[in-house]
Amino acid sequence: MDSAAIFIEHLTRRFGELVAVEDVNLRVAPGQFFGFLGPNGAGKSTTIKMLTGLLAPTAGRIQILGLDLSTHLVEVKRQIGVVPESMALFGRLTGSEYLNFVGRMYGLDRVTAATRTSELLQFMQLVDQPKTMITDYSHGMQKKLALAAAVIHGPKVLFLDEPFEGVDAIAAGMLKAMLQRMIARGATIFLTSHVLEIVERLCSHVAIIHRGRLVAQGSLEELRAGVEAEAAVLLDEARSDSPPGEKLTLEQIFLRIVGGPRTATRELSWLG
Amino acid sequence: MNQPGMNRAGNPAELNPDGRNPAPQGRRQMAAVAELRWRIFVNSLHTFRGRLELASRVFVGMAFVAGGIGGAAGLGGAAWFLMSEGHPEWLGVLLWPVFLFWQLFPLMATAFTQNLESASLLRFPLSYRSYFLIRLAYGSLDPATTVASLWLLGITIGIGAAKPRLLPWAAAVLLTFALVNLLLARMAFAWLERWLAQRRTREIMGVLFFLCILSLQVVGPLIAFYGHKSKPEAWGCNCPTRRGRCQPAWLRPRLQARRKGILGRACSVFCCWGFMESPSYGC
Repeated sequence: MDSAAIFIEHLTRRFGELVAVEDVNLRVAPGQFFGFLGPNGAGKSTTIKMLTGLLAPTAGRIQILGLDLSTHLVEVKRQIGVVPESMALFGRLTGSEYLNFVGRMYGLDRVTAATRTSELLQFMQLVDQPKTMITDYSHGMQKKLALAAAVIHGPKVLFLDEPFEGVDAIAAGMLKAMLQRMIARGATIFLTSHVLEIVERLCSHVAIIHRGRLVAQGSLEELRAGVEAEAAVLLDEARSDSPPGEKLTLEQIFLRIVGGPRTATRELSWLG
Repeated sequence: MNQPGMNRAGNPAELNPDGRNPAPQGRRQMAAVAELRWRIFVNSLHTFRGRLELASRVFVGMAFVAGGIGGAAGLGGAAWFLMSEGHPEWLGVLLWPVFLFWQLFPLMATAFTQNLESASLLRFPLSYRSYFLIRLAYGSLDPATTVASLWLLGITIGIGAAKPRLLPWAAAVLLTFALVNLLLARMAFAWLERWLAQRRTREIMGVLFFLCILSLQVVGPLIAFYGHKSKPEAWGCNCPTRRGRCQPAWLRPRLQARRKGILGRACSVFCCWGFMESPSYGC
């Protein structure tokens, strides 16, 4: 049994001919804030679905907190929290009703669920809308509610698929602080986001998936060192867009690894 | 008032320090899902559209009750007549409309309703047993199930009234038939649920539903046209002289044989459903 919070071995998922995730190996230590990056369609959400037991892998092994997901599915689900990409909220409930329901589904007794619901609604600044249906919430409010639902049972591992999408700056700052407090208390967070600045600020370790394959993983320093070393060998212009003496940003590292253009190479003549 | 993490008796020993109840969660989760459905229903009444929906549901509900009771009386009467006249082999004909209604109506009705997608419960720590039971409960509360069950009850009573000694057998067979239908309908839903969650698909199903209703208008002329063929020889049946032996080739089974067949089919459908649900559960 591996002591990692998340341990993935030869994980593969095929949808007919399409290979969405191919032979991914990953190890996330307990207490790590782990960023999982990749361009659109790279396989991030598919990986998260497999890690949270919503999608069966075609091949490979997943262990969460030392428990094999294929044999301890319910026990694993009890110990993890998820903010899925689609959020999967019940639109005709109020925020309070939804959080109560989620708490009870995770085995909290009514009183504890109610207490935590009220605390979370206050924390997420959603108390002003006690009678408002979730369907009438803004996108950002729905994200906050989904995050509140993911943490109501005090999970040891939290999976977040684009948690800051549509969230205003004030709320984002508050959420980041909350997540960092969770890390300080020993929780593990697995985060996917397209906002690389956020990942850079929060995550200690990062993995990059591209076309279903894991192309890089390690701490930010390790990734930076790898890119710089490669650039030095190839006498490349990897640092051309960052001033001398300055560290490469995660965005530059990411673009370098997935092979994206660093500058716009083509122009649209009709754009002013 | 109770403190967080304590039960009504204020005894903290029954809970884990994190407020989680260590006792089996299945029943609590099912209660939570039932309450969720209730809250969704109550909340839907807060909007004008929700109130309109309730009004339409009351009318539809009344139509269902009338259809259920009327159908039960009609089918019960038919079952009584067939048994009294010594034609038990024709009882199978009565089961076809029940079967078709039970399987097709929920699919068609999905075009007009937005169902709670039970697959969205999969991210919670539900055991396979609880998930299975929740889905089964969803099916049991379906209007089609209620109406069709009423019809089957009518048939059972009809058979029992004509031949009281066959009542237990009829009840057993029709109960099994009901179980097969319930499981088969749920099995179909397990596969079609995500597909039906899309608005476009529901619209297509709605159009099919109307076409289906319109096609019923053709039944009368067809019966009138082919009516002259509805003689025993037209069924391809060399009719023996003994009363009650004549039956169409495709309507072979007697009550006993039907019972065995249905039991077999029930088992295979049950296993099939369990198997087909497994991937959606994430096994």
